[in-house]
Amino acid sequence: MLKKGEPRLDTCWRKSRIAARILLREEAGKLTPRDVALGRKFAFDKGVTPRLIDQAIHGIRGKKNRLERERRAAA
Amino acid sequence: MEYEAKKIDWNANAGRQLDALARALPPHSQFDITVFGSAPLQLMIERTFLSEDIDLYSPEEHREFLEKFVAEKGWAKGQSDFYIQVCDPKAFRSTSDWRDRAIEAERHGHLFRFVHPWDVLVSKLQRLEEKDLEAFKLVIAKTGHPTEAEFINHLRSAVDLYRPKFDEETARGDMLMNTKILWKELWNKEIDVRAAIIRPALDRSRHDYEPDPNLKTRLANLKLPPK
Repeated sequence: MLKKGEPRLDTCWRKSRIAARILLREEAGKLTPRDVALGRKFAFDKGVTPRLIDQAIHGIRGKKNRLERERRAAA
Repeated sequence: MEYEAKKIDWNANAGRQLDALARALPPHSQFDITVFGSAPLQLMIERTFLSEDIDLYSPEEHREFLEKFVAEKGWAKGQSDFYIQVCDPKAFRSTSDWRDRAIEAERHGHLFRFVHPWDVLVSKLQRLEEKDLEAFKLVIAKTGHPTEAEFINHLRSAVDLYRPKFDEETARGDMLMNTKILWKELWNKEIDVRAAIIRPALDRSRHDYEPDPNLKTRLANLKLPPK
């Protein structure tokens, strides 16, 4: 467990996941002013790469699909 | 042709020598020995295929012991007309997945891993001396395989061998040029190595890693939805 105040070593991945969520919200037409500001910031962040964003988008969509399947199976 | 452990010809020269080695090795720890070079061809395809040595290697922790052991038994280079050469693992270079095809056999409690004949051929293609070319002809004459198409596909798994060499490695030969010579010799054809082998292999390995390049542009141009 990471202690409070210690530097994280997965910031690129964490930022890319946030960027992915922002892009998914854009597709859903649900962007907020905060999303727009953060998205523009990430666009110029070297650690946030298309590869990581792409992985995150597929991961988030995959999780949604899995939960949907489980919900249907339980119904 | 199926290559299986039960078909290994332990009565061939290389087989008898390896059997003697297995019998003599200390039984208390299991040795893991990979056999490459011409010996697997002699053991699995044609017992009369001549070779003066058996090239093999073991994991690093056994290497020094094995070298000494072979020398003490009088089986090392210069000690016997049919000798065992304990090599560095890097001496054998072939397809990236050769281990999946290797034929494993236990002998007197030790594990012998024989490189599949097609992977032996790939390693020989890096040098392609007259004897190496004979090995190709032998394998194809005895088994009918690999065909031209099969070997193109097989070489795609060895694409890294086509990368430029260090200056210190020039003695190993030019894989690209050797492939062209091989095609002329075996199939009397020209081959465009880049188009037939290198590009398809690289495309296949890149396939999974091509994200949408516009994702960051989309982030930079985000706009709030109209109210």
